Amino acid sequence: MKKRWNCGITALFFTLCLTACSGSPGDTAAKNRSPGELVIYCPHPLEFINPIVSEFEMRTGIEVTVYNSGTVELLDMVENKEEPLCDVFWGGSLSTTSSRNQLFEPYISENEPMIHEEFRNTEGNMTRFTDLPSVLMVNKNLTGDLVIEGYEDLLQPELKGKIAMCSPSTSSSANEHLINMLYAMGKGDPENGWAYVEEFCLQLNGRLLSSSSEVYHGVADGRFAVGLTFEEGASHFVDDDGPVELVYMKEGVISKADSVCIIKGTENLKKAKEFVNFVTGKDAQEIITSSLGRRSVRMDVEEPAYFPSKSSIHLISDDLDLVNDKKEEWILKFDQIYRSTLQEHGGEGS
Amino acid sequence: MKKEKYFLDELRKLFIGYAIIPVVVFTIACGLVFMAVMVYGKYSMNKKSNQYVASEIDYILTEYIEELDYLSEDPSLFSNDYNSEWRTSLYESIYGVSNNLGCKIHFYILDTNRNCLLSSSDEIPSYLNIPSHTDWGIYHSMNSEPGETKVQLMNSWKSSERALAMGKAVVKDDSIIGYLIFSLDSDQLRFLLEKADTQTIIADRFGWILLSNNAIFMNESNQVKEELKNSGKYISYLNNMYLVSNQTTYHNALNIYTISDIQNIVVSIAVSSALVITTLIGMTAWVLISSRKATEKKTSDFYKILDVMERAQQGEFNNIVIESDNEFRIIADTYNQTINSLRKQMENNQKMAELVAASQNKQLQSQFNPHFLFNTLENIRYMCKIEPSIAERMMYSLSNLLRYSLAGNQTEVSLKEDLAHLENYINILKYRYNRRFSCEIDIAPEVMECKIPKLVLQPMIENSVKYGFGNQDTLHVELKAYIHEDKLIMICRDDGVGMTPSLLSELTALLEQEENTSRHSGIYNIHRRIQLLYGRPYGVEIRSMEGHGTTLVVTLPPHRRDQNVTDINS
Repeated sequence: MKKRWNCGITALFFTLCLTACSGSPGDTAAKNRSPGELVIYCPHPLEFINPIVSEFEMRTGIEVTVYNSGTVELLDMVENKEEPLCDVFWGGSLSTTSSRNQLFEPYISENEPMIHEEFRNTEGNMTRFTDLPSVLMVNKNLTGDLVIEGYEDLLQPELKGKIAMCSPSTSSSANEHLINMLYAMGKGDPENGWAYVEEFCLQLNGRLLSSSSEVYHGVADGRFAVGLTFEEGASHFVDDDGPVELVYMKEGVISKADSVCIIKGTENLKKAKEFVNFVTGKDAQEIITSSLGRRSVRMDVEEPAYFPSKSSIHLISDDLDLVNDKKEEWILKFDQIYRSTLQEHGGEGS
Repeated sequence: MKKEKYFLDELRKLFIGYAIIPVVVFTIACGLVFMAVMVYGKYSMNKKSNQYVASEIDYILTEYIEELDYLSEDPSLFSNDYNSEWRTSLYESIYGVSNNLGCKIHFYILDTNRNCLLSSSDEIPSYLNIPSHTDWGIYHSMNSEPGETKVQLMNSWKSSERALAMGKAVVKDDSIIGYLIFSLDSDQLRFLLEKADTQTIIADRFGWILLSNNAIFMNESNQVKEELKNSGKYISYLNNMYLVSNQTTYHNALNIYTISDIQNIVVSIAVSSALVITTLIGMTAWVLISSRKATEKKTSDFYKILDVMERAQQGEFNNIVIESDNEFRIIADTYNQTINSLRKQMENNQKMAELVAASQNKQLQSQFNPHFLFNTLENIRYMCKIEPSIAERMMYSLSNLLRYSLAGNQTEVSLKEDLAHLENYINILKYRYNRRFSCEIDIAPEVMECKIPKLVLQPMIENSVKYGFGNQDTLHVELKAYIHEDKLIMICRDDGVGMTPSLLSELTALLEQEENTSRHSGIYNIHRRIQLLYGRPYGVEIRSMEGHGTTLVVTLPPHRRDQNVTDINS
């Protein structure tokens, strides 16, 4: 009899606890996508992404969720089929994304005829999105009288430890700079460029950043004097009378496109195609050049007025096949050189 | 044992059932009701605040769009030749609306090339500053449906400014002649959020936030987080609990989320509930233990009384000892008095019974058969004449026998002693009957010391002589004594004529009676005496068949002389 009382009391307590804990449908849906939602993985800066995505949503009524991170990490997420499953991979320079192009669905956008010859989707599944030259970003408040016109100038002893660069193994823009460096300083032969890379790594003074946004924010906020980044990332911080300035390396600038690709096996293929067509469409490309700081891949869109015209830049080109072949090797080699400088510096920095 | 503690268990159950359970149930019910009231109160406040913001925004937008529609009818809107009178009336009209609504807008009158013809602000916001050849933003919306008023959330490119743009591509003769745009800065609506102590997010249908005083559910892209979008009326996020109200306003263009943090309410109620429950558990445990002790103590007197009464049922009368001074004491005292007088009564009764038994025994023992005495004396008289020496020995035996029967107060003697005196009787019989009578005595040696009532053996032989001879010439009697199945058995068997069935049944019936009214006294006397001394199972049994002799079986308890045999059953 006594036990029955106890059971009753316990049951009442449990009821109380359950009542207190029940009714929480909200906390399970965190990682699940809403039905019909388009999931986009994108390494672009948010200031760049948001206006385009909101316009796309407004026009099409398609809801979009953007996952923002480094190119390599996002590609790994796609490969590992992490939730929410990616529908469109938007961004990342070609030299990083093309080595993983088996992840992408073949699609030729409806805008392809209007794309510059050099930015055509020759692979069949990698639509070019924008043209992104690598640049040096300089905070003039911190460089004083130093003249910075190219890679060579980064070796000045005054700049030691003041250079912001991201690890080429995580950021496609840093990898782009490594390739640019090898070709520009090797005078066309990347193997000759490694001597410069060794000297350059010493200048880093043991500091290598982990995401490309840290580079342009670091220079804009004054943590670094110079940053190795891409044109658009830096351009958001360029003001008419501000301290931030873009420098196109006099030794040569490789201007490579980034891509917008549909992921193989997506359930939202139609919406994904709509998105690819929208971002390569004239309206989006014009807004990108007029307001968002990038160069268009379209023939019918003019170069932005606030950037030097491409004809005024010393442009060089790389061998895309060779770059794809050597990508892993070069990144490894860079890491080794960088790590050896750490030992010389006694493990300074991180 | 279980039944024995019934009263105690009932008392404790009473205690728990009428004290603890109601308190526990009441407390829990109160806690639940309290929580429900608090949460419901918070929820209805949240919902009210949500409705307030939604209806205000709906009202503001409706008013401004009415104004926009009204102004767009003006034919000289895009004339680019505004006289001061026209301007004044335009401003008056717009000020009239803003002052009524409590929030200001900027207006922009743009031609088809998006050049500003007239505006209330010096600077054109970046989201309106889009080249005329680019179809983007509010322009795209207006161009897609000329003549319709469009509402769109606008983000400026680089700053965090946000505004709600209402615009219309004004059409004349099927072609767009210009744009009229009202821009409502998000800050102008902030007053709506400051009135309530809830948190509110105003977002468009895709989750882009116009205005918010909550940072938790806002992601770095300035969008409503998925968790809030997908939540119901309740969300648990980052270990915090919130109530959520959500409704759309102005033709589903905007979503209003109102959020109330109920973490504090829930935690404080949960903590106080936990405290109350812990206290209750502690109290219950304490009560269970203490009630056991208390009720045990309180009922111990009761069980003492019960115990004594149960013993009394088995014939053991004890007094109840109660130390405490309560109702049980009175019961116990009364009981004790009753028991004491009862016990006294019983003692008296027993004494009386013993006295009666003793006197009856005495009387029975002294009943010597007068026929035997008469016959013996006649024989002696006869012998005196023919053989005086035998007469003298007979006289001696008789006088011994008489002395033995009269002597002392002893009721019990050893078998050996009784046997010795039986010799006198047998001697007399032998003198009397000479060769006609023979006797064989076979007594087991271990029974010699057994105690038997005085003068038991003699009537057994006497009975054989009395009924055995009949018309026979001789009579042989055997006397045996032994112990069988823990009883002393004495058997007297003769080879006499036996008893007729009617005599046997008469004698057997006589043995069952308490008073002897017949002339057969010998067997009845010993049977009665044995029963008086030792009780029921003992006594005399007669077995006889006509022509086959008679057997008397006397059963006695096998008491030895050295044993202290005093217990006489009541």
